[in-house]
Amino acid sequence: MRSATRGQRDEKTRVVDASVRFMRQKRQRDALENDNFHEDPHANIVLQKNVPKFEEEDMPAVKRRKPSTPGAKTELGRRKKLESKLRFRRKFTALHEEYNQSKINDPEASIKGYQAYEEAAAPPSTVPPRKFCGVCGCFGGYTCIRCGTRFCSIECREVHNDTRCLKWTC
Amino acid sequence: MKTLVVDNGGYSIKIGYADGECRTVPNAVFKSRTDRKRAYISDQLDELNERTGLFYSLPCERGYLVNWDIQRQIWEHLFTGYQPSETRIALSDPIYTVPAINDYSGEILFEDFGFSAVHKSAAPRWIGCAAAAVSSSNRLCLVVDSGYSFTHVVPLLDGQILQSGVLRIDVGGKVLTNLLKEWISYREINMREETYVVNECKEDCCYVSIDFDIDMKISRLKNETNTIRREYVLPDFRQNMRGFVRNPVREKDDLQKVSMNLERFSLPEVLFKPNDIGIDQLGIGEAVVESTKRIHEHLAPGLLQNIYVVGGSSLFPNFRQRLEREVRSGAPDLYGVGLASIPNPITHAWTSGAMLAKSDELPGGFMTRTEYLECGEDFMLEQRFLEFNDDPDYAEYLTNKLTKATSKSDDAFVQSTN
Repeated sequence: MRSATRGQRDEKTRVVDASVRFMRQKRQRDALENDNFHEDPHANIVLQKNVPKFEEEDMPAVKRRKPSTPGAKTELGRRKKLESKLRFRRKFTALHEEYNQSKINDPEASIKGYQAYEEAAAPPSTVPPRKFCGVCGCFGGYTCIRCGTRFCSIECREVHNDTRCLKWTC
Repeated sequence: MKTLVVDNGGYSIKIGYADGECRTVPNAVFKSRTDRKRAYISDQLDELNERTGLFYSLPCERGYLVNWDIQRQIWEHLFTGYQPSETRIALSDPIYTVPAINDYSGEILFEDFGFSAVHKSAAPRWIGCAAAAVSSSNRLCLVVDSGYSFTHVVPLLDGQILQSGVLRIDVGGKVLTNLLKEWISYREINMREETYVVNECKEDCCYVSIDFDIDMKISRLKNETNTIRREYVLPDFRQNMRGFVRNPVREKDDLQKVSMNLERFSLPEVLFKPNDIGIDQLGIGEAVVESTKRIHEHLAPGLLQNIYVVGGSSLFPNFRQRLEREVRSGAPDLYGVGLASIPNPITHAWTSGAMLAKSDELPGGFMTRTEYLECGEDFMLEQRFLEFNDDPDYAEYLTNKLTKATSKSDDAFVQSTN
C-alpha cells in the first residue's frame, strides 16, 4: 500500500510563521504578570458534604440552559447578582480595554485624561534588542529555523529541540 | 488629632502614625498548602513557618487597586490598633487615576472604617513636596520609583507633577521574580510555585552589572576563575528559614541548592533593557533622559541634578551607579547629574508623607467627613484631575512657576559653567 508521505514530511519541517511567534512572545510576556502559577489551594475545600454549592449557579456562561427559555426575569436577577460580585473583583486589563472600547464608540465622553495611562507608557527603545540563548542565557548567535528561538551552541540546540521547540507550554 | 500615613504599595504597605514609627508589612493574603484551615493576612505571615508553595492574593494588579474585598480584609487587620474615628488618614494612590478602575477607597475609609478625614495623593508627590519643603534648591526633582508592579519616572516642580514628562516602564519586582522563577525552573529544578522563595533568592543573589559584556565573559569561565558563580542554598524550613548564598563547594552534601551564574546580573539587567525579554520600552536610564527631553528645556538641568531613586527594586547592589552612568551618557554634557542620597528607598515615600503630615503641608489637604457626605467621591476625583488637565488656568499657573524656576536654574547653570 502506498500512502501519502507529504503530510508527515510537513510535520517535521513545519515552520512557525511570524504571527504565531508574536503570539507566543505575547503569551510569555503576559505570564510574567501572573501572581501565582498554581491554583488556589483553598478553592475546593469541602467542609461539609451536605452543604449545597451555590457558586455554580452564579457562573456567567451557563451552557445547559437554552437561550430561548422564557425566563427573562431570572436571567436579569442572575446578571444583577453577577454585577455585584464583579464590582469588587475584576481584571485590570479587561476593565481598561472595555473602557477604551466604549471611548472609541463615544468620542464625546466627558471625563478628561482617560488616555493618560497609555500616554505615560515608555516609548520603544532606539537601541535594538540583544539576542540571548533561550536555553542557557548566553548571547545566542543562531536561530532555530522552526520556531525562531535563539541558541548559542549545538548542545543548547539539542536541549531546545528536545524540550521546547514547537511544544511551548508556558 | 493624629494622622495615620499609609503608603499602599503593590507588594507592601508602609503604615504608621506621622509622629511614630513606620511598619512595612506585605500587602497580600497568603494561603498555604500545608495549613488549610486559615488564610494569613499581611503580617500574620510571621506565624507561618513552612512557606513553600504560598498562594498570593494581591489587591493590586499592575499597580492599581482592583480587588477591593482583599484590600478591605487587609486594612481591617492593620487598622485594628488605631482609632479611626479620632484619626485622619493620608493614603497614597497611583499617579494616574485610570477612569476604568473604580476607586472605592473613599467609600471604604469613610463608611466602613469611619475615618474623620482622608487625604489622597500619589507617593511621588509626597516625595517632591517634602524635598521642596526641606530646601529651596530642591524645587525641581525627578523621582524614579522602581517598585513591585512597574517603574515610574516622575518629574516634579514644587511638588506638582509635570504630566508630559511622566513615563512608565512595565517592569518591576514582580516581572523579575517571575522571570527568575521561569529560568530556574527550566534550567534546574521546578520552582514555579515557590514565588516566596524565589523572591528571597532574587533579593539575596542578584546585582546590577556595571559592564554587562565583561560579566558575561566571566560567567562563561570554569571553576575558580569564574568569580560570579554562587550557590543559593534553599531553605528547608526546619534549620534555616531563609536561603543563603555561598561560594560553590566541591564536596557533596545533602543541602538542596540552585546554581546562580549569569542569572545574577542578567535578571536586573531587564530593568535597564526591557526589550531584551520582548517588552519594547525604554530602560530606566533612557527613560530619565527621555523624560527631561519632553518638558521645558530650562527645567532639564535642575531635574537631572536632583534624582530621587526610591522603591524596592532599586535595592539591587550597583543600581544607583549604573543609573547614574546611563543618565550621564545620555544627557547633554553641560548638565550635571546627581542622585540624592536616600537612607531607605522603600520607606522614603512614607517618611516624606509623615513629614508633610506633621507640618500639615500635604498637597491638596484633607477631605473631611462632612465634605464627603455632601459631595461624595466625585469631589475627590475632580481634584485629582486638576493636577494635570489642560485647562488654561492650569497652563497659566504652570507658566508662572516656570519663569520663577527658570531664573533659578539659569543661575545654577551659570555657576556650574564658571
